[in-house]
Amino acid sequence: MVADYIAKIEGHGRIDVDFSAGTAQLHIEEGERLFEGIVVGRKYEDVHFITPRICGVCPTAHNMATIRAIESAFGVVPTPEAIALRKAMISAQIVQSHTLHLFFLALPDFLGIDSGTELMKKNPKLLKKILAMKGMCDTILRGIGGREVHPTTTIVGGFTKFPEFHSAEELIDLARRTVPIAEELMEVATKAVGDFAPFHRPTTHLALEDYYGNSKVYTSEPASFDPRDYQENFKENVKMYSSAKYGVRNNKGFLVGALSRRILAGKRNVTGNTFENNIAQGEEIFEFTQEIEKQLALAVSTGLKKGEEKVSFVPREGVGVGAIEAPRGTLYNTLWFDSEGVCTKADIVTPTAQNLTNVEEDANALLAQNRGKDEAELKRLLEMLVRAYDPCITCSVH
Amino acid sequence: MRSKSKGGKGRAKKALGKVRPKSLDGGPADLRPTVAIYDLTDCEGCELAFVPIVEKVVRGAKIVEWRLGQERKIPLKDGEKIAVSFVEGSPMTLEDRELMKDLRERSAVIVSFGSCACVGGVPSLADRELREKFMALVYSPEYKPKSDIPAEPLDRTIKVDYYLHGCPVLPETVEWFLEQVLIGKKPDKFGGYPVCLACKEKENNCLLLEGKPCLGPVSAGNCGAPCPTFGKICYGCTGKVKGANIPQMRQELIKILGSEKAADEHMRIFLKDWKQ
Repeated sequence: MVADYIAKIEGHGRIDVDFSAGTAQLHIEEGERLFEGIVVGRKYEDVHFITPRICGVCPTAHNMATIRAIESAFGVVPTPEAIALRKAMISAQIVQSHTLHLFFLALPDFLGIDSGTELMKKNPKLLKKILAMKGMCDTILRGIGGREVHPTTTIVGGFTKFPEFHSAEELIDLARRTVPIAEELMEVATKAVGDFAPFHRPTTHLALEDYYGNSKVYTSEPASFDPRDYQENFKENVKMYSSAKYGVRNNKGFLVGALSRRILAGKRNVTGNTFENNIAQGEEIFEFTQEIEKQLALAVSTGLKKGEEKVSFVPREGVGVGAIEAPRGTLYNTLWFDSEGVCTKADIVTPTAQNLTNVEEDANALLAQNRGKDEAELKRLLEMLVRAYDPCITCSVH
Repeated sequence: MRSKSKGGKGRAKKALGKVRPKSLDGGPADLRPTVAIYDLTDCEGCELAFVPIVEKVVRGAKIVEWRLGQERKIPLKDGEKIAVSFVEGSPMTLEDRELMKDLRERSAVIVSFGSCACVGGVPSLADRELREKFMALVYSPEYKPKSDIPAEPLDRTIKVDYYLHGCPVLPETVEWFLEQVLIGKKPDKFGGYPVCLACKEKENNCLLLEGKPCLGPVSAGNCGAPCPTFGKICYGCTGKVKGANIPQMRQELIKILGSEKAADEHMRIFLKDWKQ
């Protein structure tokens, strides 16, 4: 019979527990797709078409990080209205991904149901709101990006096309009307998780101050670093039992994502309870819905004039780093190009891969702090813990 | 004439009533056909097409297995088969292939769902030879891969009944397909008209005439041409249109892109069997 992957996480992984020793390992079982090899030998415009296919849940984030890396290599700076539209897209991606994860994958654990679809019977009003939230993000991403999954308008230098002025105004209106729903969903998440805290373990948090990447990466230590120097500030270790690599900083795990962003922005306190990540995601649904409205308004205020969609450029030999805040944390791309704009080497570091050491350290702490509970209950808590991270295994193995 | 059409409607309603009971309660009255959704190695973006239409899907069908959406598998009666199983992604591990053989036996209809399941998609750009090279590049020399074959179409492992191409598949496509198959029709394969027709309908300028590489003329147009509509080149993710003239398309791309290699690189993402 087929082994039991953890349900309700994106991708295929299982948790392997040695109950007598009180230790756990997270085994990532996804097949290797080798995107860092696939993009080599391809023109730059193919590269940002290909990398979103790493993950259908956060394709816009991959697309943006790749475009930012190419622009950094070629020395391209898009117009302010193009940047505002990109920021609206990244914000919509964060809200969309958080909404899906919270209400279909993580919160069923807390709401006492197995599947988000059960809400149709048990709480149809809530399901309507969840779908309205997701629908708003779909409309924004389709309106600016051309499609909900795997954007088409985004290119190096800006956009192929801006949304029509009047439809951009409709998008602002839609985002504004969805803000109260976002606030309600935040409250649902906060209430559902409540003070659930089966263990505590402090860790190091990392996040870009500016989610578009024009800032340093801050840490919960005194240190901060330039995102271009990420390879000197943490490593990715290969594990024989996993097809994903595991991030370590100073030989220890660290955390990226919603909770880290909120903590480093001074909006949440450090408590060492990873389950608060789900509350932080709820808060970000509210925060980034407002951000969509703000960035769209900024773009519209420029008039979205024809001819401003993209700046021209000439590909050149060089290397560029693109870093942005994806829904699950900081996503880094380093891309090398020859003088024709053909990619010669690539390094893609996803948020989930960065978090994996921390997941295992948390799992071990959870086991140590819950001795005496029966194995089935511990297994359930461990699966809930993994889901609380919102791991995207598809991303982590790319 | 009028009464005839009324009668027709009544019959249709009756027929629908059999598969779409009004009540959502399970139990003996639940006659909804069963659906399973599986994802193998891929990006899971096609599965998201179920989310905007989830209320309609659950009203018309019972989702019995969906690892991404639910932990519980709803057991079927002895000998009963899953009416429709959607499979997204490529079976790259031995475990995946065993899972698929088991699913084939338990399903009446299997759908290759999205480009990865239909043709191998983007991950299949790394063939066997390249994979060895890339594996050493990405992992360490001691690392033993989880996957033992490159990304391949699902129909190399099991027999497939329908193919829904797309990178990603759109919610409209899933809705249309499910409706057809659940009321007992055989959904016609897509590919009756090219992307060009969808483009003309949207009054887009022709990208080929602008000197940009576009696979619209050889690709199925059921996507509604979202890429050319926004000025983006087409990579042909919807699969080949009926009567596609691939060699001529290739000649056009060579003219535009300047080399055979560049044309082939553009075509080989989704058009897997063009060298015929």
